[in-house]
Amino acid sequence: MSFNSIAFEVFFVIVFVFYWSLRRSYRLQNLLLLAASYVFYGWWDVRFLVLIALSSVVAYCCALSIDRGQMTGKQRARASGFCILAVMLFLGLKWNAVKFSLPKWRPLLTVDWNNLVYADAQHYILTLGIIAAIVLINISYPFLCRLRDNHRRKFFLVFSITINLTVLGIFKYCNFFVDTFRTLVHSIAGISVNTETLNIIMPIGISFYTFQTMGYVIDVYRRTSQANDSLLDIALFTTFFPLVLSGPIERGTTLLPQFQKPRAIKSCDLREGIWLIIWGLYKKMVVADNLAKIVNTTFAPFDNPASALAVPQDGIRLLAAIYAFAFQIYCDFSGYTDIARGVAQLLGFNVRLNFNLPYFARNPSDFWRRWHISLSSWLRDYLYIPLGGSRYGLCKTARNMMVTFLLCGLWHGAAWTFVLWGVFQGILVTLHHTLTRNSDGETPRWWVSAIQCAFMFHLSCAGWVLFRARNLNTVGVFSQSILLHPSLSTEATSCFGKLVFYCWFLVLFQAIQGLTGTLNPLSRLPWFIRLNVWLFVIMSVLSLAESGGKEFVYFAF
Amino acid sequence: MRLTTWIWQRIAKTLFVAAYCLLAAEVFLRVFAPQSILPRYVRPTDYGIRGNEPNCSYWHVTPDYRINIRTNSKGIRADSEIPYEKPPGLKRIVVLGDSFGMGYGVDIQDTFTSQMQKALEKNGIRCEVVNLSVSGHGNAEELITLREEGFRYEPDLVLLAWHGSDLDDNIRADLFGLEDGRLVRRGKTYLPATKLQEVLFRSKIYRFVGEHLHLYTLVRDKAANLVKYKILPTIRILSNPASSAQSPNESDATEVVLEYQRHLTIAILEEIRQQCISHGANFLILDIPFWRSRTEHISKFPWEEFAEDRHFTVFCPVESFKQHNGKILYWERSDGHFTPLGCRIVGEGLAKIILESGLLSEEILDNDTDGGEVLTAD
Repeated sequence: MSFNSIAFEVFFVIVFVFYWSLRRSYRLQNLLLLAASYVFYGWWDVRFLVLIALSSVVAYCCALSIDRGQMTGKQRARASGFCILAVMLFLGLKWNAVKFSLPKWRPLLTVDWNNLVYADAQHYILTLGIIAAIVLINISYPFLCRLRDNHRRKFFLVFSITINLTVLGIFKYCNFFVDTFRTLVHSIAGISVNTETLNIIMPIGISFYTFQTMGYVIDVYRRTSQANDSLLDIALFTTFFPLVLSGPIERGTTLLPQFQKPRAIKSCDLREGIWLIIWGLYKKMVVADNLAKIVNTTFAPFDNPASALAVPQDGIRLLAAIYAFAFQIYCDFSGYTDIARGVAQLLGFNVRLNFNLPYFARNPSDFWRRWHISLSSWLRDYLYIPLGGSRYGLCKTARNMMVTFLLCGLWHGAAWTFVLWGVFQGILVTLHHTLTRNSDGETPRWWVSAIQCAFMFHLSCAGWVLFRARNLNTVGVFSQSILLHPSLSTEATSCFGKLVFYCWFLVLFQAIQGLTGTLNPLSRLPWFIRLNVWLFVIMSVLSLAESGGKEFVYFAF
Repeated sequence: MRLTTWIWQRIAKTLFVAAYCLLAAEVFLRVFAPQSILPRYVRPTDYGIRGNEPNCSYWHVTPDYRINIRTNSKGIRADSEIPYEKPPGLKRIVVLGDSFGMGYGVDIQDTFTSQMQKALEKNGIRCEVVNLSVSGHGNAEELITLREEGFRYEPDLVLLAWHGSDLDDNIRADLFGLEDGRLVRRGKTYLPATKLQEVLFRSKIYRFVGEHLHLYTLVRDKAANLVKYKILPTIRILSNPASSAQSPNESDATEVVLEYQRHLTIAILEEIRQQCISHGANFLILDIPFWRSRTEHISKFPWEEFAEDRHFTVFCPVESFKQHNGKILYWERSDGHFTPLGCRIVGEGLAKIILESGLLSEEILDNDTDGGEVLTAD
């Protein structure tokens, strides 16, 4: 279910009404949110709810075992029961055998009993395998708990990380590794390896929720957070529907406490939540989706690696497409985050900021403090700092940065262009770190800042070419065309015209955000100007939005 | 401040804000997103479907064009009256279709039917076009129009402007259905929102709003699309789960519905052809392609089902369009109907096919015997 679909609008209205009608019991609210989150995620594919349920249980059990030394029998029974129930419900049943209908306006639920249960060997083996694993873990658990404290803590941390990374590896990177292996063997030994690619479907949001649960377990291991006793809370933490598909990647220390207390909503929260949703829809449906047309039209001829196309002679058009992609990717992802934050706010939760005017960054380090903050801070806290951070001299700092950004690139997608994009970002950050090591950190004059911002924007645009290109040939063609044939054409003028038309308000609003130093400058403006801004944004969404509700780009990551 | 004063102030402010919002929204649309204002004046006919309002004159205004639509006393888009009796020596072509057939997007002298008539007259054929197209019609309504009205004009040729939207329209109208592969009449009438429109159209204010306000057009179109493409299909599926229950998964269910759509369409077209034969008229289908880009035009005609039982003469202008690659054949910024150039290509193509196939000759071509043909004007 996508935030920009009618199905979500109906779903959210229903959840919102029921949620606040249960405000006397936050536990019931949590239960409702969990059910709603499973419906939200299962709308796409019910089977993958098993993964998310297993991820929750692994995080719950490992965190408790690390923190408390041992789970109680009740906790183990609850976790095992939850797992078995999830496997039975989401892997054992065919949900499309259950149909809801309204013949003569009378609600009717029909079940095709003959087709309700998966009857193939594959499903039996998978279901029985998972159940057997649960039984095995339960049998071996008392022995594991007898390990020395330090060893036990490490064992459960490694177990949790291994499970998460294995799931991620199988579902996200398996095809990539098989293809790379095949190409490598063919190019080195000249042997054609006939390995069947498994054609594995990647579950939406898998990178987000696995990182979120891993972060929670690592926090418990580091004793910065306590293990949570409630399986319901952990399951909700993993599946919370505003965040499950594309983040922000929340921390247990900030989100879990919010599940454990009653929520209230003030009128200002309501207003801000609605504003965030509308502003997010504006970014996604008006800016990103419309710019996507320019981007796709320009990049599409080069997407097929087999097509050997001549270098276009109007480099300015390609430059316009890169600028368009810079705004498209930003508005697509930050728009989603804004909607997620707005939806969470309407439910009484505070979700962390994920984008803080990234194109106003003055240098690569600043850019990563503003772009996808939840991921960059995750990588900083759980990868870069454990690797040694900047503590052991320049060489090791550079190594740590490169490793971190290489994995950051790989996190974004299973393709070499993403790896290269990560390497490119790593080089930029390392160079910046090396060059500014001894600087006094004084704030430059405004015009120097402006030049730095413009320069940094173009550096990030260079990175976006790697990010968008489906093959390395495209990068070469774009570079050649822009640098060697920077001539203007009518198409280029038209592209720039559209770019300005769709982006001018966004840039103006962000300039105001930057100058006033607040992400919500509306509250400081007189009511009449506020009214006009709301009107402009709502009318833009209604009239300029691309029809059809396009999917969010970051769903692919 | 006294309470009553405070209340009055609040009411005044609310009213001001509401009025201001409407005004500002209208200004926004005119500046940033001008709408295609295409009022459609239809009314119920005696035979239970929609027909154009007679003696009407109104404007279609879009970012691409501004044209005047005029209808005669029978609701035909024409500047003159057309009697039922056919003058001797004159060939008559009855045109059935939707907004494309009616010539939305171009002045009356530029419609493809006018272009076709001109091209035929250049070749020495005295002919008259009776355009019975009504915006929104599908093939089911076209069949009824032909039976009830079209044959009264004693046509020599019936030209049906077929568009991909007809597949869906035929289902939505529910005027005909298929039972054991046979075409059967279902609903007696199909008058979506016509009663409401009739009431509203009586008001001059409503007509003014409908013909001039961009905000009204936006809201109406959004609401109509929501009802047409989201709510009604959902209700249809919920109230008749049989179609989807027959199939194990959703994509198969969709394929079942699409296959039914195509078979129903072919059955209606076949019925039209049979009716034409019995009334001594030839039958020609114009397949109007969908526009993807200036170089890509796609036919949605159910060719597979057509191939099973080729009785029709179909003219598809995709090949002719290819010769004009890069030129604007459809209005791109507004409603996607033909431009004058698009109409000219289609009109001339049709004329060529009619001449070459002898569709205006005295002989009735019964393609049952010689197999149907797919024709291009090249």
